[in-house]
Amino acid sequence: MRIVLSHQSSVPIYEQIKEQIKAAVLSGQVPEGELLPSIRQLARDLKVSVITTTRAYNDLELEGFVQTVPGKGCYVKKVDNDLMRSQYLKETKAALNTAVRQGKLAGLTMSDLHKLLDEQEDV
Amino acid sequence: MIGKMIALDWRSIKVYQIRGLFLPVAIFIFGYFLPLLVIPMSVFMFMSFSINPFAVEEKGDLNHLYLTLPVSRKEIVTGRYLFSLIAVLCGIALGTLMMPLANMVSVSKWFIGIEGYIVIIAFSYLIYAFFSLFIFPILFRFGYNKGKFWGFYLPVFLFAFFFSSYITFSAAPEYSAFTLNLLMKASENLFLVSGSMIAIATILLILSYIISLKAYSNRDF
Amino acid sequence: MNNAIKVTNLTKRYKNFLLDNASFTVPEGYICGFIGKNGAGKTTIMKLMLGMALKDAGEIELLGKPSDDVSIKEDLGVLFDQPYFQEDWTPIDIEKALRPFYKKWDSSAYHRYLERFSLDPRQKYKSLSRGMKMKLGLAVTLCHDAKLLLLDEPTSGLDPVMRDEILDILREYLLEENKTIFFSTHITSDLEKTADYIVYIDNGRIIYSGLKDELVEKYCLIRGGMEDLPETKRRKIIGLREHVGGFEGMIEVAETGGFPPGVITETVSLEDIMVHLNRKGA
Repeated sequence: MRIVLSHQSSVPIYEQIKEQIKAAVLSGQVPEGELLPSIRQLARDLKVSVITTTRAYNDLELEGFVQTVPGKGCYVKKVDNDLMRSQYLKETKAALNTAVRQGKLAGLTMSDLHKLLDEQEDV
Repeated sequence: MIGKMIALDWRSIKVYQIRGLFLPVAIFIFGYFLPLLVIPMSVFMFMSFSINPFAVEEKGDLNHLYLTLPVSRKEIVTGRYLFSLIAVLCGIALGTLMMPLANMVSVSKWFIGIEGYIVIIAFSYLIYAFFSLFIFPILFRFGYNKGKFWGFYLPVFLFAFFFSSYITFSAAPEYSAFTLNLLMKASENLFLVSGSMIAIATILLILSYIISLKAYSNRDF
Repeated sequence: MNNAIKVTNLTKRYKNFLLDNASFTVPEGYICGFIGKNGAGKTTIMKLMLGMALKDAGEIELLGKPSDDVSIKEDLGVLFDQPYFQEDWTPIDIEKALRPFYKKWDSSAYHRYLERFSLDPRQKYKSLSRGMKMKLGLAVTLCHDAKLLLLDEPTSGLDPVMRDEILDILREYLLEENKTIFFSTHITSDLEKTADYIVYIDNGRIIYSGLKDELVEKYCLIRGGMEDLPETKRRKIIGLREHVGGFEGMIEVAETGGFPPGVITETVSLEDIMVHLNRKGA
């Protein structure tokens, strides 16, 4: 599993951890049923606070990617299509958000943006 | 248990333990001149030796260690008293053994019998108790650096003063028999004299202990 | 969640200093940074917790028991800015002296730490370097299964390499669930990433007590040109500093609306918070 943090980034650490674990799960790099490192072990390895890793794991559980078993740890859940779809949807929305903001800064109107979007169809 | 505290005090004076070995030598040399006062002197020297934990504690700021251990302030005080008492008992034992030896080689000789010994031992115990009334509470309240003048050097000075006065006094020809007569009188009323000295000494020690407990428990570090 | 430390209305008067009604809690199982500049009252509170100084008012609870209960100290590991041992003691002497006091003293763990830290068991304490002394102090606190570590400026005076080593040893200590570290320091960079909770003290008063993330996420740094500073916003800026290039300061994130574009905001560090809050008071 690959978790590489940037402390300079404006993205909060817990979110970076969460997204990278998610990516690993979705890509199949971390198989279903695999036990993730404990909250404390991960905190130690990444040199971050325990609260940070706890937050990341809690969010992952809420979003349906992992399952916490008391006394054992966090297990990776089976990635179902709905889950993948909702993740991709979220990423697409974020990308569109950025694109729209950029466009507005450049002075484009919403119809200009729609035109650009249609051009993308060939991608 | 108090034993751990006494052991701790003993270990804390690790470097000074060696000095303890010189005590018998010093006492013996003293006894060469005045065998009669071997026991009081021995008690006094051993008592001074038992003040070392205070000096060591102050030098190393060891209260930072002692007060982080699972031990109460009361146990610290009790440990020091017992440490001192043990040292004094050693002093009495050593002095009692040394006195006949010193007597043999000495320039002045005294023959006092068991009763005489008992009187002198009781007297030494009383001196110890009297000093401890001042030394310990002051050292516990102010620490070694601040308390050493009033709590140690001054009592020692007074002791030396009265002591040398006594020596000068009894060296004078008219009073040469003074000490001997005193001892004889005391030996005749052995239980009364020794008994009351021991009782008073014990009361003084208990008083000293109570004052020290109060002084130390109110101390801010 | 249990509290490893609970301080309520703690007051202590010295000639030139007043610890004024301090209250805070430290939850069990985490590392709590206790920050404040020199003389703010950190060591005073540590001493009061240990019973080295006597409080004038208030309550202190450690591991659920009143702090004057001597038996708590079995589960307590304490380290000051340097360990306090008799200077002629060797690590072996230290074990002999301290072991009788702790029911859970683990001798093999102690020697394992000595080996791991490359400490010669027969070397006198006074001849150790500062970093070695701290490691020895840590070895002693860690080998009797302490549940709460109270550390008073344990990394001050140490080089960055040593500091990193010590912090890693502390993180290792926290791998077990019910261990807590209370870490007082003025070197906030040690805590920036690792601390879970923060207690911030200034001039004898507790300014903040809670999650580190909440504290850091509440503020941000703000910089801009002189013309970028609206008058209405001026007093919202904490520790405002105006210079030839513009202005610089700290502001609550909630207040960052209403600035012109071109103004730069940045995440704030614990150090920034301390510096800017103190500028404000000056």
